Amino acid sequence: MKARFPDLRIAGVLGVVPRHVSRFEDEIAQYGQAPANSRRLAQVMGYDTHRVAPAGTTTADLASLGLRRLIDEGHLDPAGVEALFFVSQTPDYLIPATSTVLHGRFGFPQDTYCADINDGCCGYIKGLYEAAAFLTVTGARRAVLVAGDVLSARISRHDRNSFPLVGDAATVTVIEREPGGAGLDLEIRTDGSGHDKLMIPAGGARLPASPETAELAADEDGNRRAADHLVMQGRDVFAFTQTVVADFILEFLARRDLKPADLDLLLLHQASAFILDRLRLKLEVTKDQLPDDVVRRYGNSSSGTIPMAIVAALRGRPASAVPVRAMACGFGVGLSWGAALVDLRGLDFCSLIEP
Amino acid sequence: MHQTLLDLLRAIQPDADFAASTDFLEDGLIDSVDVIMVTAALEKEFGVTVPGDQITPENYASLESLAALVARCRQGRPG
Repeated sequence: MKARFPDLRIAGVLGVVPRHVSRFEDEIAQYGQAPANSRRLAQVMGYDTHRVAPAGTTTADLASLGLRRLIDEGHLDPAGVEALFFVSQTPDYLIPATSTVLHGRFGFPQDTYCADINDGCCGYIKGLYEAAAFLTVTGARRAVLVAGDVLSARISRHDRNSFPLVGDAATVTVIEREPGGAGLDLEIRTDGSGHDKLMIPAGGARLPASPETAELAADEDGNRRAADHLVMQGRDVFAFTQTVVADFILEFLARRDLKPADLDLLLLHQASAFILDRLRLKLEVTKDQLPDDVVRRYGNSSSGTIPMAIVAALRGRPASAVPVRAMACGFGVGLSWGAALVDLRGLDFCSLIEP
Repeated sequence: MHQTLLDLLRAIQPDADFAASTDFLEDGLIDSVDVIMVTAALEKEFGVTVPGDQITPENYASLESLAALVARCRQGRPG
Protein backbone atom coordinates (compact mmCIF):
# COMPACT_ATOMS: atom_id res chain seq x y z
CA MET A 1 0.00 0.00 0.00
CA LYS A 2 1.27 3.43 -0.94
CA ALA A 3 -0.26 6.76 0.02
CA ARG A 4 0.68 10.38 -0.04
CA PHE A 5 -1.21 12.95 1.97
CA PRO A 6 -0.39 16.61 1.35
CA ASP A 7 -1.19 19.55 3.59
CA LEU A 8 -0.45 17.88 6.90
CA ARG A 9 2.15 18.33 9.57
CA ILE A 10 3.36 16.53 12.66
CA ALA A 11 2.71 19.14 15.32
CA GLY A 12 4.50 17.46 18.19
CA VAL A 13 5.67 14.27 19.86
CA LEU A 14 5.74 13.38 23.53
CA GLY A 15 7.20 10.24 25.12
CA VAL A 16 6.21 8.84 28.49
CA VAL A 17 8.35 6.21 30.21
CA PRO A 18 7.99 4.74 33.69
CA ARG A 19 10.56 5.97 36.14
CA HIS A 20 11.85 2.53 37.13
CA VAL A 21 15.10 1.62 35.37
CA SER A 22 15.84 -2.09 35.19
CA ARG A 23 19.49 -3.00 34.61
CA PHE A 24 20.49 -6.15 32.77
CA GLU A 25 23.29 -6.72 35.23
CA ASP A 26 20.73 -6.95 38.02
CA GLU A 27 18.56 -9.36 36.02
CA ILE A 28 21.22 -11.95 35.22
CA ALA A 29 20.31 -14.14 38.19
CA GLN A 30 16.72 -14.53 36.95
CA TYR A 31 17.85 -16.12 33.69
CA GLY A 32 18.79 -19.77 33.41
CA GLN A 33 22.08 -19.24 31.61
CA ALA A 34 25.58 -18.87 33.04
CA PRO A 35 26.30 -15.28 34.15
CA ALA A 36 29.49 -15.03 32.09
CA ASN A 37 27.56 -16.10 28.99
CA SER A 38 24.85 -13.55 29.71
CA ARG A 39 27.40 -10.77 30.10
CA ARG A 40 29.01 -11.59 26.77
CA LEU A 41 25.60 -11.56 25.16
CA ALA A 42 24.83 -8.20 26.72
CA GLN A 43 27.91 -6.70 25.09
CA VAL A 44 26.91 -7.95 21.67
CA MET A 45 23.21 -7.21 21.94
CA GLY A 46 23.60 -3.87 23.65
CA TYR A 47 21.57 -4.96 26.68
CA ASP A 48 21.95 -2.22 29.23
CA THR A 49 18.92 -0.59 30.80
CA HIS A 50 15.22 -0.63 30.07
CA ARG A 51 12.12 0.82 31.63
CA VAL A 52 9.61 -1.38 33.41
CA ALA A 53 6.22 -0.11 34.52
CA PRO A 54 4.92 -0.92 38.01
CA ALA A 55 2.49 -3.84 38.20
CA GLY A 56 -0.98 -2.69 37.27
CA THR A 57 0.15 0.27 35.19
CA THR A 58 -1.16 0.02 31.64
CA THR A 59 -0.25 1.64 28.36
CA ALA A 60 -3.36 3.78 28.71
CA ASP A 61 -2.18 4.95 32.12
CA LEU A 62 1.14 6.13 30.67
CA ALA A 63 -0.67 7.70 27.73
CA SER A 64 -3.01 9.51 30.11
CA LEU A 65 -0.05 11.13 31.83
CA GLY A 66 1.18 12.34 28.46
CA LEU A 67 -2.20 13.65 27.37
CA ARG A 68 -2.65 15.40 30.73
CA ARG A 69 0.75 17.05 30.35
CA LEU A 70 -0.07 18.29 26.85
CA ILE A 71 -3.41 19.66 27.99
CA ASP A 72 -1.90 21.34 31.06
CA GLU A 73 0.86 22.93 29.00
CA GLY A 74 -1.61 24.24 26.43
CA HIS A 75 -0.42 22.06 23.55
CA LEU A 76 -3.71 20.20 23.32
CA ASP A 77 -7.23 21.49 23.73
CA PRO A 78 -9.54 18.57 24.62
CA ALA A 79 -12.34 20.21 22.65
CA GLY A 80 -10.10 20.20 19.57
CA VAL A 81 -9.32 16.48 19.54
CA GLU A 82 -11.20 15.27 16.48
CA ALA A 83 -9.74 11.78 16.34
CA LEU A 84 -7.95 9.53 18.79
CA PHE A 85 -6.04 6.49 17.55
CA PHE A 86 -4.64 4.06 20.10
CA VAL A 87 -1.95 1.77 18.67
CA SER A 88 -1.00 -0.96 21.09
CA GLN A 89 -0.95 -4.68 21.79
CA THR A 90 -1.63 -4.10 25.46
CA PRO A 91 -5.14 -2.65 25.67
CA ASP A 92 -6.84 -2.16 29.01
CA TYR A 93 -9.58 -4.63 28.06
CA LEU A 94 -10.60 -7.02 25.30
CA ILE A 95 -13.81 -5.01 25.23
CA PRO A 96 -14.13 -2.01 24.93
CA ALA A 97 -11.52 -0.27 22.82
CA THR A 98 -8.96 1.56 24.95
CA SER A 99 -9.33 4.69 22.80
CA THR A 100 -12.84 4.98 24.23
CA VAL A 101 -11.46 4.58 27.76
CA LEU A 102 -9.12 7.50 27.12
CA HIS A 103 -11.93 9.44 25.46
CA GLY A 104 -14.02 9.10 28.59
CA ARG A 105 -11.15 9.89 30.91
CA PHE A 106 -10.48 13.22 29.21
CA GLY A 107 -14.03 14.12 28.25
CA PHE A 108 -13.26 14.51 24.57
CA PRO A 109 -16.19 15.60 22.38
CA GLN A 110 -18.75 13.02 21.28
CA ASP A 111 -17.82 13.92 17.71
CA THR A 112 -14.27 12.60 18.28
CA TYR A 113 -13.54 9.52 16.17
CA CYS A 114 -11.93 6.80 18.30
CA ALA A 115 -10.22 3.66 17.03
CA ASP A 116 -7.82 1.07 18.38
CA ILE A 117 -5.18 -0.45 16.14
CA ASN A 118 -3.83 -3.78 17.37
CA ASP A 119 -0.31 -3.61 16.06
CA GLY A 120 3.26 -3.58 17.22
CA CYS A 121 6.48 -2.51 15.68
CA CYS A 122 4.99 -1.23 12.41
CA GLY A 123 2.06 0.24 14.29
CA TYR A 124 3.31 3.81 14.34
CA ILE A 125 3.43 3.93 10.55
CA LYS A 126 -0.10 2.50 10.42
CA GLY A 127 -1.22 5.04 12.98
CA LEU A 128 0.24 7.86 10.91
CA TYR A 129 -1.62 6.50 7.89
CA GLU A 130 -4.92 6.30 9.77
CA ALA A 131 -4.54 9.79 11.17
CA ALA A 132 -3.55 11.24 7.81
CA ALA A 133 -6.40 9.48 6.02
CA PHE A 134 -8.87 10.68 8.65
CA LEU A 135 -7.75 14.29 8.38
CA THR A 136 -7.74 14.19 4.60
CA VAL A 137 -11.14 12.55 4.19
CA THR A 138 -13.01 14.51 6.85
CA GLY A 139 -11.30 17.87 6.56
CA ALA A 140 -10.78 17.80 10.32
CA ARG A 141 -7.91 19.78 11.77
CA ARG A 142 -6.35 17.62 14.47
CA ALA A 143 -5.82 13.94 15.23
CA VAL A 144 -4.07 12.43 18.22
CA LEU A 145 -2.06 9.25 17.84
CA VAL A 146 -1.18 7.29 20.96
CA ALA A 147 1.35 4.50 20.37
CA GLY A 148 3.17 2.24 22.78
CA ASP A 149 3.07 -0.85 24.90
CA VAL A 150 3.52 -2.08 28.44
CA LEU A 151 4.75 -5.48 27.37
CA SER A 152 6.96 -6.22 30.34
CA ALA A 153 3.99 -7.88 32.01
CA ARG A 154 3.49 -10.19 29.01
CA ILE A 155 7.08 -11.36 28.73
CA SER A 156 8.57 -13.93 31.01
CA ARG A 157 11.21 -12.48 33.29
CA HIS A 158 13.08 -15.73 32.78
CA ASP A 159 13.32 -15.24 29.01
CA ARG A 160 16.76 -13.81 28.33
CA ASN A 161 16.07 -13.50 24.62
CA SER A 162 13.18 -11.06 25.03
CA PHE A 163 12.83 -9.55 28.49
CA PRO A 164 16.03 -7.46 28.44
CA LEU A 165 14.98 -5.92 25.14
CA VAL A 166 11.54 -4.74 26.13
CA GLY A 167 10.89 -1.32 27.55
CA ASP A 168 7.53 0.08 28.53
CA ALA A 169 6.49 3.40 27.03
CA ALA A 170 3.57 5.33 25.62
CA THR A 171 3.84 8.18 23.19
CA VAL A 172 1.51 10.89 21.98
CA THR A 173 1.81 12.41 18.52
CA VAL A 174 -0.39 15.22 17.29
CA ILE A 175 -0.99 15.42 13.55
CA GLU A 176 -2.62 18.49 12.07
CA ARG A 177 -4.03 19.53 8.75
CA GLU A 178 -2.07 22.50 7.46
CA PRO A 179 -2.31 23.89 3.94
CA GLY A 180 1.19 23.81 2.48
CA GLY A 181 2.42 21.42 5.17
CA ALA A 182 4.97 18.78 4.18
CA GLY A 183 2.41 16.00 4.39
CA LEU A 184 3.07 12.30 4.78
CA ASP A 185 4.40 9.94 2.13
CA LEU A 186 4.26 6.33 3.22
CA GLU A 187 4.13 2.66 2.27
CA ILE A 188 3.03 -0.34 4.30
CA ARG A 189 3.45 -4.08 3.63
CA THR A 190 2.18 -7.27 5.27
CA ASP A 191 3.14 -10.93 5.09
CA GLY A 192 0.63 -12.79 7.23
CA SER A 193 2.33 -16.12 6.57
CA GLY A 194 4.71 -14.96 9.27
CA HIS A 195 2.03 -14.16 11.85
CA ASP A 196 3.44 -16.78 14.23
CA LYS A 197 6.96 -15.37 14.25
CA LEU A 198 6.12 -12.98 17.07
CA MET A 199 3.09 -13.85 19.13
CA ILE A 200 1.45 -14.35 22.48
CA PRO A 201 -0.24 -17.71 21.90
CA ALA A 202 -2.77 -17.58 24.75
CA GLY A 203 -5.28 -15.04 25.96
CA GLY A 204 -7.35 -14.59 22.83
CA ALA A 205 -10.33 -16.56 21.54
CA ARG A 206 -8.12 -19.23 19.93
CA LEU A 207 -6.51 -20.27 23.21
CA PRO A 208 -8.13 -18.59 26.21
CA ALA A 209 -5.93 -17.93 29.20
CA SER A 210 -6.10 -20.64 31.83
CA PRO A 211 -3.98 -22.00 34.67
CA GLU A 212 -2.35 -24.27 32.10
CA THR A 213 -1.37 -21.41 29.79
CA ALA A 214 0.29 -19.68 32.74
CA GLU A 215 2.62 -22.59 33.47
CA LEU A 216 6.27 -21.86 32.76
CA ALA A 217 8.21 -24.34 30.67
CA ALA A 218 11.86 -24.22 29.67
CA ASP A 219 12.79 -24.20 26.00
CA GLU A 220 15.93 -25.88 24.70
CA ASP A 221 17.92 -22.70 25.34
CA GLY A 222 17.03 -22.50 29.02
CA ASN A 223 14.51 -19.67 28.67
CA ARG A 224 11.37 -20.26 30.70
CA ARG A 225 8.10 -18.87 29.46
CA ALA A 226 4.38 -19.69 29.35
CA ALA A 227 1.81 -19.62 26.56
CA ASP A 228 0.61 -16.35 28.10
CA HIS A 229 3.97 -14.80 27.26
CA LEU A 230 5.42 -13.34 24.09
CA VAL A 231 7.42 -15.83 22.08
CA MET A 232 9.67 -14.82 19.22
CA GLN A 233 11.20 -16.96 16.49
CA GLY A 234 14.41 -15.00 16.77
CA ARG A 235 16.25 -16.52 13.82
CA ASP A 236 13.41 -15.89 11.39
CA VAL A 237 12.71 -12.41 12.69
CA PHE A 238 16.35 -11.46 12.37
CA ALA A 239 16.51 -12.79 8.80
CA PHE A 240 13.35 -10.81 7.98
CA THR A 241 14.95 -7.59 9.18
CA GLN A 242 18.15 -8.12 7.22
CA THR A 243 16.55 -9.14 3.93
CA VAL A 244 12.94 -8.01 3.52
CA VAL A 245 13.18 -4.87 5.63
CA ALA A 246 16.62 -3.82 4.40
CA ASP A 247 15.59 -4.24 0.77
CA PHE A 248 12.31 -2.45 1.40
CA ILE A 249 14.10 0.58 2.84
CA LEU A 250 16.38 0.78 -0.18
CA GLU A 251 13.48 0.38 -2.60
CA PHE A 252 11.25 2.83 -0.73
CA LEU A 253 13.97 5.43 -0.99
CA ALA A 254 14.84 4.58 -4.61
CA ARG A 255 11.21 5.13 -5.61
CA ARG A 256 11.69 8.68 -4.35
CA ASP A 257 15.09 9.13 -5.99
CA LEU A 258 16.78 8.93 -2.62
CA LYS A 259 19.39 6.72 -1.03
CA PRO A 260 20.13 6.21 2.66
CA ALA A 261 23.11 8.56 2.62
CA ASP A 262 20.79 11.38 1.54
CA LEU A 263 18.91 11.22 4.82
CA ASP A 264 19.79 13.13 7.94
CA LEU A 265 17.90 10.75 10.15
CA LEU A 266 16.67 7.19 9.78
CA LEU A 267 14.22 6.60 12.59
CA LEU A 268 14.04 2.84 12.56
CA HIS A 269 12.02 0.74 14.94
CA GLN A 270 14.34 0.08 17.87
CA ALA A 271 14.18 -3.71 17.70
CA SER A 272 17.62 -4.42 19.12
CA ALA A 273 21.00 -2.76 18.94
CA PHE A 274 22.37 -5.73 16.98
CA ILE A 275 19.64 -5.59 14.33
CA LEU A 276 20.15 -1.85 13.95
CA ASP A 277 23.91 -2.29 13.75
CA ARG A 278 23.58 -4.75 10.85
CA LEU A 279 21.06 -2.53 9.08
CA ARG A 280 23.47 0.36 9.46
CA LEU A 281 26.12 -1.70 7.70
CA LYS A 282 23.77 -2.69 4.92
CA LEU A 283 22.47 0.84 4.38
CA GLU A 284 25.95 2.33 4.71
CA VAL A 285 24.95 5.05 7.13
CA THR A 286 26.43 6.34 10.37
CA LYS A 287 25.23 5.94 13.91
CA ASP A 288 24.29 9.62 13.93
CA GLN A 289 22.01 8.96 10.97
CA LEU A 290 20.60 5.72 12.34
CA PRO A 291 20.65 5.94 16.14
CA ASP A 292 19.99 3.09 18.55
CA ASP A 293 20.00 4.87 21.86
CA VAL A 294 16.30 4.27 22.53
CA VAL A 295 16.61 0.49 22.66
CA ARG A 296 19.84 0.75 24.61
CA ARG A 297 18.53 3.17 27.22
CA TYR A 298 14.78 2.70 27.35
CA GLY A 299 14.07 -0.61 25.60
CA ASN A 300 11.83 -1.71 22.79
CA SER A 301 8.28 -0.42 23.26
CA SER A 302 6.90 -1.80 19.96
CA SER A 303 4.92 0.95 18.25
CA GLY A 304 6.37 3.47 20.69
CA THR A 305 9.98 3.24 19.54
CA ILE A 306 9.79 5.49 16.48
CA PRO A 307 8.23 8.44 18.32
CA MET A 308 10.63 7.75 21.19
CA ALA A 309 13.46 7.93 18.67
CA ILE A 310 12.10 11.22 17.40
CA VAL A 311 12.12 12.61 20.93
CA ALA A 312 15.59 11.21 21.66
CA ALA A 313 17.00 12.69 18.46
CA LEU A 314 15.39 16.11 18.60
CA ARG A 315 14.86 16.92 22.25
CA GLY A 316 16.80 19.98 23.17
CA ARG A 317 18.04 20.66 19.64
CA PRO A 318 17.77 24.23 18.43
CA ALA A 319 15.35 24.67 15.55
CA SER A 320 18.22 25.33 13.18
CA ALA A 321 19.68 21.88 13.93
CA VAL A 322 16.57 19.84 13.29
CA PRO A 323 17.22 17.33 10.50
CA VAL A 324 15.64 18.19 7.20
CA ARG A 325 15.31 14.78 5.59
CA ALA A 326 13.98 12.08 7.90
CA MET A 327 12.48 8.69 7.36
CA ALA A 328 10.61 6.49 9.82
CA CYS A 329 10.47 2.74 9.37
CA GLY A 330 8.64 0.17 11.48
CA PHE A 331 8.87 -3.60 11.15
CA GLY A 332 7.85 -6.63 13.13
CA VAL A 333 4.77 -8.49 14.30
CA GLY A 334 2.41 -9.54 11.55
CA LEU A 335 4.77 -9.70 9.85
CA SER A 336 4.31 -6.13 8.73
CA TRP A 337 6.61 -3.30 7.80
CA GLY A 338 6.27 0.22 6.55
CA ALA A 339 8.01 3.51 6.11
CA ALA A 340 7.19 7.18 5.91
CA LEU A 341 9.07 10.30 4.97
CA VAL A 342 8.47 12.73 7.78
CA ASP A 343 9.15 16.40 8.28
CA LEU A 344 10.09 17.12 11.87
CA ARG A 345 10.84 20.79 11.53
CA GLY A 346 8.78 23.27 13.49
CA LEU A 347 7.38 20.91 16.11
CA ASP A 348 5.34 22.69 18.78
CA PHE A 349 6.54 20.22 21.40
CA CYS A 350 9.04 17.38 21.59
CA SER A 351 9.74 16.06 25.05
CA LEU A 352 9.99 13.09 27.35
CA ILE A 353 8.39 12.74 30.74
CA GLU A 354 9.24 10.22 33.43
CA PRO A 355 6.40 10.40 35.94
CA MET B 1 41.16 -22.32 11.20
CA HIS B 2 38.98 -25.23 12.38
CA GLN B 3 40.68 -25.40 15.77
CA THR B 4 40.25 -21.65 16.24
CA LEU B 5 36.61 -21.99 15.33
CA LEU B 6 36.17 -24.88 17.74
CA ASP B 7 37.74 -22.86 20.56
CA LEU B 8 35.53 -19.95 19.75
CA LEU B 9 32.37 -22.09 19.72
CA ARG B 10 33.30 -23.89 22.93
CA ALA B 11 33.74 -20.56 24.68
CA ILE B 12 30.06 -19.95 23.95
CA GLN B 13 28.70 -23.47 24.50
CA PRO B 14 31.32 -25.40 26.49
CA ASP B 15 29.36 -28.65 26.69
CA ALA B 16 28.45 -29.02 23.01
CA ASP B 17 30.26 -31.52 20.77
CA PHE B 18 30.77 -29.34 17.73
CA ALA B 19 33.28 -31.67 16.10
CA ALA B 20 30.66 -34.41 15.84
CA SER B 21 27.91 -32.23 14.34
CA THR B 22 27.26 -31.19 10.77
CA ASP B 23 24.34 -28.92 11.66
CA PHE B 24 24.85 -26.98 14.85
CA LEU B 25 21.40 -25.36 14.84
CA GLU B 26 19.46 -28.44 13.81
CA ASP B 27 21.28 -30.50 16.43
CA GLY B 28 20.50 -27.91 19.09
CA LEU B 29 24.13 -27.05 19.82
CA ILE B 30 23.56 -23.34 19.32
CA ASP B 31 20.44 -21.18 19.16
CA SER B 32 19.65 -17.90 17.48
CA VAL B 33 21.17 -15.91 20.33
CA ASP B 34 24.33 -18.01 20.19
CA VAL B 35 24.54 -17.22 16.48
CA ILE B 36 24.81 -13.56 17.36
CA MET B 37 27.54 -14.31 19.88
CA VAL B 38 29.38 -16.45 17.35
CA THR B 39 29.16 -13.56 14.90
CA ALA B 40 30.73 -11.18 17.39
CA ALA B 41 33.46 -13.72 18.16
CA LEU B 42 34.22 -14.28 14.47
CA GLU B 43 34.51 -10.57 13.89
CA LYS B 44 36.83 -10.11 16.85
CA GLU B 45 38.98 -13.17 16.10
CA PHE B 46 39.33 -12.77 12.35
CA GLY B 47 38.88 -9.02 11.92
CA VAL B 48 35.98 -9.41 9.51
CA THR B 49 32.51 -7.92 9.33
CA VAL B 50 29.65 -10.32 8.73
CA PRO B 51 26.74 -8.66 6.90
CA GLY B 52 23.33 -9.24 8.42
CA ASP B 53 22.02 -11.12 5.40
CA GLN B 54 24.85 -13.64 5.79
CA ILE B 55 23.84 -14.53 9.34
CA THR B 56 21.86 -17.53 8.14
CA PRO B 57 21.39 -21.08 9.46
CA GLU B 58 23.32 -22.43 6.48
CA ASN B 59 26.38 -20.32 7.18
CA TYR B 60 26.40 -21.31 10.86
CA ALA B 61 25.71 -25.01 10.38
CA SER B 62 29.21 -26.47 10.61
CA LEU B 63 32.90 -25.77 10.98
CA GLU B 64 33.22 -25.94 7.20
CA SER B 65 30.46 -23.43 6.53
CA LEU B 66 31.80 -21.07 9.18
CA ALA B 67 35.29 -21.28 7.71
CA ALA B 68 33.87 -20.56 4.26
CA LEU B 69 31.94 -17.58 5.62
CA VAL B 70 35.07 -16.13 7.21
CA ALA B 71 37.01 -16.67 3.98
CA ARG B 72 34.36 -14.87 1.93
CA CYS B 73 34.18 -11.99 4.41
CA ARG B 74 37.97 -11.67 4.28
CA GLN B 75 37.81 -11.40 0.54
CA GLY B 76 35.06 -8.81 0.71
CA ARG B 77 32.61 -11.11 -1.04
CA PRO B 78 30.50 -12.34 1.86
CA GLY B 79 27.47 -13.14 -0.23
